[in-house]
Amino acid sequence: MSLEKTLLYFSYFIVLGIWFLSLSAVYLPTSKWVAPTFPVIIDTHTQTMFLISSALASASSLLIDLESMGKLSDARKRS
Amino acid sequence: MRKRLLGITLILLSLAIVSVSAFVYETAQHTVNQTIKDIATVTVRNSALGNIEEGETKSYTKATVSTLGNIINVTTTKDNVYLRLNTDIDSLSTYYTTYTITVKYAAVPNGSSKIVGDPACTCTLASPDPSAVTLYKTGTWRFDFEITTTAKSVSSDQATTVTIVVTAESTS
Repeated sequence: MSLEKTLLYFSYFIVLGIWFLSLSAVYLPTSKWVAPTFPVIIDTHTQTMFLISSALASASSLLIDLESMGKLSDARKRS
Repeated sequence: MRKRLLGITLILLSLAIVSVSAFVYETAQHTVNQTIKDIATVTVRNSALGNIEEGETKSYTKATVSTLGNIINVTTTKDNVYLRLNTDIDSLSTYYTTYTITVKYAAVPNGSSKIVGDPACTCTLASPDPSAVTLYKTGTWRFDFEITTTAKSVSSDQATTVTIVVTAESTS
């Protein structure tokens, strides 16, 4: 596996981990799995991190998909 | 074949991330803006309390029925949250002459003037929905139930259930 691919996978798993953690931080206070808190307060920084990590995780998943299909390197060669 | 499978999995994962994130974000936004929230729905079955004879009066506390302890648990993040209890115990007037649920403070936040063990509100056959309990201080509040019942004469064993819906309300 090339260094570029390794880095892509590495960053993908990091982003996926951050996404999962921020998902838990946003979802758990609203769920019935923990003792109820009222009114529910979700930190704006946590919400922002959740949105950014969602976009990054989704985008990097697509990028790895394109890379594994060879479409990304094709596009690079053409340009 | 393996590459195609990986490709499909990654596309599905990407779509799943977007869908789950959208759902969670929408739910969180809705919950944060809520001024009323269901805290718990408590169901009390007479089978869980034990046998009672006709005309007999029995009291149940957390010492005799452990599940009655810390039955309501809520953490407030602002002052003056109102806790409301709505019960259907009035429907049991056919089987009981008295059915009283006394809600007592089991834990109060530091600095609160409320004392653990004091009654917060009482639900009776005549008044199944008592007035709201004000949780005037931020922190963790816990409540115990104490139940007193007097059974009426019935022709056979009768299963009864009381449902208590607990909601929290904030003024803004």
